[in-house]
Amino acid sequence: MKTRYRESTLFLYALGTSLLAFVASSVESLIFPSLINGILGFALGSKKIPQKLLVVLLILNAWGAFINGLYFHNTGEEVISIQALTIKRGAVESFLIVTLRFFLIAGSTLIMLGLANVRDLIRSLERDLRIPSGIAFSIAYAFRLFPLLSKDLSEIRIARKERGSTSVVLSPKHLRSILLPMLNISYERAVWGGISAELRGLRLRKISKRESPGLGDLIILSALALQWIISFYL
Amino acid sequence: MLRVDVRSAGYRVDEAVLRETMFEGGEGELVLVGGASGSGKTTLLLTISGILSSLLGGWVEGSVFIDGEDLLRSEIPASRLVGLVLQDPEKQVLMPTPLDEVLFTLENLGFDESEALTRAAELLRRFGLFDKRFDHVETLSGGEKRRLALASATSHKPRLVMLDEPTASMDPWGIREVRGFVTDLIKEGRNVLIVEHKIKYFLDIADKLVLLSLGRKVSEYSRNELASRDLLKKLRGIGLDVEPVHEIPEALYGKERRIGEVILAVEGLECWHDRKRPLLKDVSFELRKGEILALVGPNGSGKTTLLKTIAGFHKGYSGEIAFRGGVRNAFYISQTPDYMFLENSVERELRLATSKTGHSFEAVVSKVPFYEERKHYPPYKLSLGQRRWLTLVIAWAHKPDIILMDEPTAGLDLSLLNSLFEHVRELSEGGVSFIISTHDPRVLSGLADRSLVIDGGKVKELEPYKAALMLESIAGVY
Repeated sequence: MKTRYRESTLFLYALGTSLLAFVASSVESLIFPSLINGILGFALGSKKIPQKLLVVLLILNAWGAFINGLYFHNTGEEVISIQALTIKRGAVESFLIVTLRFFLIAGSTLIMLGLANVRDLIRSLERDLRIPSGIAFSIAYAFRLFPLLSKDLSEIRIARKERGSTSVVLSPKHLRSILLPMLNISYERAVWGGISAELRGLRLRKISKRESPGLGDLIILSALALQWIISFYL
Repeated sequence: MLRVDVRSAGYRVDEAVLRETMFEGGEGELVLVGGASGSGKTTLLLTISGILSSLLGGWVEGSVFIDGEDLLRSEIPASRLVGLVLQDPEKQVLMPTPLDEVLFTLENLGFDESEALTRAAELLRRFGLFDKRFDHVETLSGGEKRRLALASATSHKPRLVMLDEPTASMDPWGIREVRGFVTDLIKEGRNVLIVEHKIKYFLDIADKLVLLSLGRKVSEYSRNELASRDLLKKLRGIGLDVEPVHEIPEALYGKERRIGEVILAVEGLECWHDRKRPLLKDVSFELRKGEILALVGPNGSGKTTLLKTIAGFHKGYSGEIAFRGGVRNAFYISQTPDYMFLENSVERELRLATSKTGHSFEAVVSKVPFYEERKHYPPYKLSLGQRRWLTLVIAWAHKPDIILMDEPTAGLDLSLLNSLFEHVRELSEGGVSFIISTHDPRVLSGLADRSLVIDGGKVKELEPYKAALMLESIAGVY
């Protein structure tokens, strides 16, 4: 049996753990897979994706989760009170659940990105999962986009400082004003990326013969199954 | 043989953007397509390559023949016969490493794996990228990315190679490389089509010039006709950048102006991203009130880093940056205007600018000539020239004493360029000083009071006109 793994198995792993993140709804069921994937993913992914971007995403998510918890789930017994601000159990739980979900999704995606070569990933998705070329390409294009997003973010922060806005996200309005330029720039980039791919024959790709799974695939899928079992049955 | 016969084409039903555009190009010939911004040049490329109808949901009436095959109706996909190099390599490059990038095209087109690898290695060697084949593309310089874009778009040896504004954002070293690349394609007998408004860089090697205006072909000139001085003068009159700096009459150059006291003094500055390898060493210069200072150097020489250091956004430096005469800071405008916008309409952008700066809304609006017709537009939907204009107005609204502009003329045609120059001059007359990072000779010959040239990490002063000639000479047109 081959020891090598197929890149499509990594994709299935990322998909499976992301699904787990949505299905699991308690801190207890999320904590184990989130920590494992988060730590492993950030360690592996930081080689290919700028660490700064990961940290910023982490902070953005944590802040968003905190605001969300405070606005919509601040119920139950009091946990801490800072002057006029009272944080209750519901807000803390909500913050932890959203943050752990983020860790799980981001971590498993980073594991995939860290272990797969982009062209091999496209080929494997087409060949083993019969995913259409356009979709396989879009998934793999993320490799190229992450460093660009990091650059965009740094330039947007400069522009915000110049224009008298804070570079730290304090409210949903701030978040919107960071996301707006990022989305617009990414949209234009995506349109031209699509044109570039079309001009270079993406539509003509031929799918090669399916590869049989190896020991590596078995280990990855077992790890995924184990996390589901631990989350719901232990 | 290329034969283009586009009767009409557009992105939306019943809305023609391109009309009555016919021309031919022989084997080993370069057809140059000129025209101002918005004349339909990029739409023409998208039409010829089949992208307009196949990917963008547009429509085309007419035909595009290459060697007897109508690209718009042929069984053979256009991507096999055509290679298109986009204006911005950042948007064309899709894969994370140079090797992946070239292999992506070859794999898509069905090349055998070993043949694809051999050809990719050969191409990367030819374009000087072989040693960097496994590096992430983001570690490549602007010039290297451009070379990678050329390599990946032509790796399958297409019959027709098209280049969309290849000199936009490119330093003269890069322009010389592109000229060399185009000359090689011509020698190989390929059809080459370039759309460009800085046509001066290709006039000497072009076999034909096709002029577009408002989405329609308005004239066509042969190689012999292009040698006429009168014709060049006429073309300049309609807004095309046709003459190298040394051929433009003296009267058009910037006049000497009165400037004020020193407001910025930079002394012994060293900048780095990696402390062990400083990008700039021992940089010293002064800037006076109302002065326009151009900063010249190749891509990656440290121009942007120097601007960001002065603006306070780059922390890896030693040396002294002293603001004088009550000046507190400088306002940095990025090369990509879109980074500057925080709202989703022009009106909201300007309101935000006034709310932070104390200017009256009317005063700010009066600086935006297109405000009434575009006030509800998202800033991202404006033309490039309008977006650059808007960033400059936003910068001005913040009442800075110094504005730092990073490559502000990239992608601007002559008419937009002249408008931008007027605006900058007007602000400088009012006492605002500018440091403009550029490798555009037009900024040096038409706008700058002084220029600093970055060479090997050091900075030396050179008279702007001489710096412009130096750039034109490097590009190969002087």
